[in-house]
Amino acid sequence: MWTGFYYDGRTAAREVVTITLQGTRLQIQRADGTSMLWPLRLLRQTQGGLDTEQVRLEFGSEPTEALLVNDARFAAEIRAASPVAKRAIRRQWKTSQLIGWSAAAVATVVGAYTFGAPAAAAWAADRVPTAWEVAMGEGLADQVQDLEEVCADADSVPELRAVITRLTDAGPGAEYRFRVLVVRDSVMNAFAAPGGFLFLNTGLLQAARTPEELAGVLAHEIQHVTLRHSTRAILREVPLRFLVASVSGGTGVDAAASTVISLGALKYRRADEAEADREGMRLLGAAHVDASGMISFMRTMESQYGDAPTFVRYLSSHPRTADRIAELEALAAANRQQVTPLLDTTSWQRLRTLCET
Amino acid sequence: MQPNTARLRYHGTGGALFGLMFVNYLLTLITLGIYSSWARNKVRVFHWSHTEMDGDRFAYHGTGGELFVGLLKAIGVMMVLGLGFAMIAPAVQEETPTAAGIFSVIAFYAVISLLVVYAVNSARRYRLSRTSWRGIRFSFHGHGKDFLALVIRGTLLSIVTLGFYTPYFQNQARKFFVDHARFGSEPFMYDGTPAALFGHYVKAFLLTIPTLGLYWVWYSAFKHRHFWNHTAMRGARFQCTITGGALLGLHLTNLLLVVCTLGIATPWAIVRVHEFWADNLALVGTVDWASITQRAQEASTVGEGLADSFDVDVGFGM
Repeated sequence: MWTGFYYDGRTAAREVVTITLQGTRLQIQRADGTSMLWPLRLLRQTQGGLDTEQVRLEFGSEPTEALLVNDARFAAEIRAASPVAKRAIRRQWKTSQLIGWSAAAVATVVGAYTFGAPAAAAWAADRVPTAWEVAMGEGLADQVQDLEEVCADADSVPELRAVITRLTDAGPGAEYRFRVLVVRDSVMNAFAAPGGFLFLNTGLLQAARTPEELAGVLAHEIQHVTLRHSTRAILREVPLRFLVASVSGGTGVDAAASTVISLGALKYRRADEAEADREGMRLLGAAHVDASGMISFMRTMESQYGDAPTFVRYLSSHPRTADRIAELEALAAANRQQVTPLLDTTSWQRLRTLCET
Repeated sequence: MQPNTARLRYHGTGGALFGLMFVNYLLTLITLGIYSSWARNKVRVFHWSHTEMDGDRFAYHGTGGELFVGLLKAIGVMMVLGLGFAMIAPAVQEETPTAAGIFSVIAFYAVISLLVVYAVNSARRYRLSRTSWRGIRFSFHGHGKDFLALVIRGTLLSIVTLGFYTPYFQNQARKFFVDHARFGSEPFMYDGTPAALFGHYVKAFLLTIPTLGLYWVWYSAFKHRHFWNHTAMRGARFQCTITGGALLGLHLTNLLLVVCTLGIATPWAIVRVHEFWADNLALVGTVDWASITQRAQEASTVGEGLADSFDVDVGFGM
C-alpha cells in the first residue's frame, strides 16, 4: 500500500489517495470512500525513471488523469509484486548506476574502436582498388606541395630513377608506379603515401653515406606502399576523424573528407614497421643491393636522433631503433646475397647534393 | 483559506544530469547528430520533472520526435532562404557594390532576424503547451505577428533613443509573454510598470564605468525581481528574492567550476542555476486550485525547430 496524489485532469485540485495492487490493476482509494481500478497495461508512465523523480502515471485521455507517487519504495515494490506491474512501471535508476552504465558504454565504444578499427581498416585496405589509393596519394602529395617545398621529382633525376628502378624491377608492387618527390627539409625523414608516392627529405639525402643506405630507406618505404600500410593507416583514422568532424562541424561531409586524408593520419603500427623492415631487406636482396646499407643508415639515425620524437615527425610508432637493428642484422646474416653496386661515386655525389643550389 | 506560500524546489542532482548528458552525447555521436533532438528533449524532461511547486512536480509532455520534425521543417525554411540568397548572390559579388546588391544582403539578414523573433514566440507556445502541473496544461496565446510588431517597434525606438527605450521595451516584452500565458483556464497577469525599471536602468548606465560594468548584474537581478513580483494569477502573486550579489556569486562560482574541471562539471553548474531559481521563487497567496480547469492547446513545432536551429534559448518559466 502506497500513498500518492491523484489529479482528475479537469481541475488542478489535489487529492491524496491510497494505492494498492489488485491483480493486474491498480486500486486507487479516494478520501470519499469510493475507489477506481486502473488496468496496469493501459497506464502510461511519463516520469520516474530516475530515483530523484516522482513516479507519474497517466490514464485515459480527454481528460487525462494522473497519479503521482512520491513514495521512494513504490517502483521497486510494485515491480517485485507482479510481472504485469514490472512491464507497466519502469525500474528506477540510481545516479551511480547511470554513471556506471555510461562508463561501460564508453569503454565498449572505445574498445570497439581500439580493436575493431585496425582489423576493419586492414580488411578494407586489402580491397581498396589501386586507383583509389593513387587518388588518395595524389591528394596527400598536393598537401605536401602546399605545405613544403618540393624541390625535385625522381622522374627528372636519372640517378634517383636508377635506384628506384633497381628496387621495383626486383620486387613486387608491379601495380604501382612509384613517384619519389624530394622535399627541402633538414629533418632526416622519408615517408610513403598510398598509391606509390614517396617523399624524401633533403636532410635524409645528405645524411646517407652510400647509395645503398638510401636504397635501404626506399625499400622500407616501398614496402609500406605495397603492403598497403599507408592505406590501412588512413582507413584506421577514418571513423574517428569522421566522428570528430561530424560533431564539431555538424554534418560537413567535405570537412570530414578533407581531414580524413591528411598527413597526420599516416601513423603506422609497430608491427607494420617491423614488417616493412623485413620485407624491405628481402627486396634489397632480390635487387642485389648490399643490405648492410639499410643497417648502417639505421645506426646513423640512432646516433643522430636516438629515439627522439623529432625523427618520427610523421611516423610516430617506430619500434625502438636498437631492436630493429638487431633484428635486421640477424636477417642479413641468414640471407647473404651476391651484390652489385648501385651508383658510381660521381652520380652519388650529384644525388646527395640535389636541391643544394 | 489561509494565505499560502507555494515554494519551488529543484530536486535534480549533478550526477544524474551528468549521466544523462553523457549518454546523450554518446548517442548523438554515434548517430552523427540525428539523436540531438531526442537528447534535448530528455534534458528538458529531466529539468521539468525535478522541479517541484507546492509538493508537485512539473511534467513535460514534448517528445524528441516533435523536436526532430520541427528541426527538419526549420532546415527546409533555411534551405529555401539560402537558395533565394544564392540566386541574388551574383548581384552582391560584383566589384562595385550596386544598390540592389546591398539591398538584397540587408533584406536577407532582415528576414533571418524576423524569423528568429517569430521563432521565440512559437517556441514559447510549444513549450508551455507541453508543460503541465497537477495534471493541468499551460498554454501561450501570443501571436507571432503581434510579437514581431512589438520587437520591431521596440528595437527601432531603442536605437533612436540610444538605448534609453530599452527598459520600456523589456517591460513590454515581459507583459506580452505573461499576459498571453495561461495555466489551464486561468490567465496570468502582469502589472509591472516601466518607470521603476527605467530608474534602475539609468543608474546602471551611470555606474557602468565606476563598477567596470558589474552593476549590470544588479540591474539584471532587479529586472527579474520586477518581472516576477508583478506576475500574478487569481489570488496569488509570485515573489522573487534574487539579489545582484547572489546572482554574481552564482555565475562566478559556476564559471570557476566549469573552467577548473575543463567543462566536466557543466551538469553541476546547470543544476546550481536551477536550484538558485527554485530557491528564490515562490507563489504567495490563496488559489482555489479546484476552480482552475483544463484547456488544451495545439501548438506547431516549426518555431521550436527554428529557435533550436538558431540556438535561441527560450528558457524555463513564463
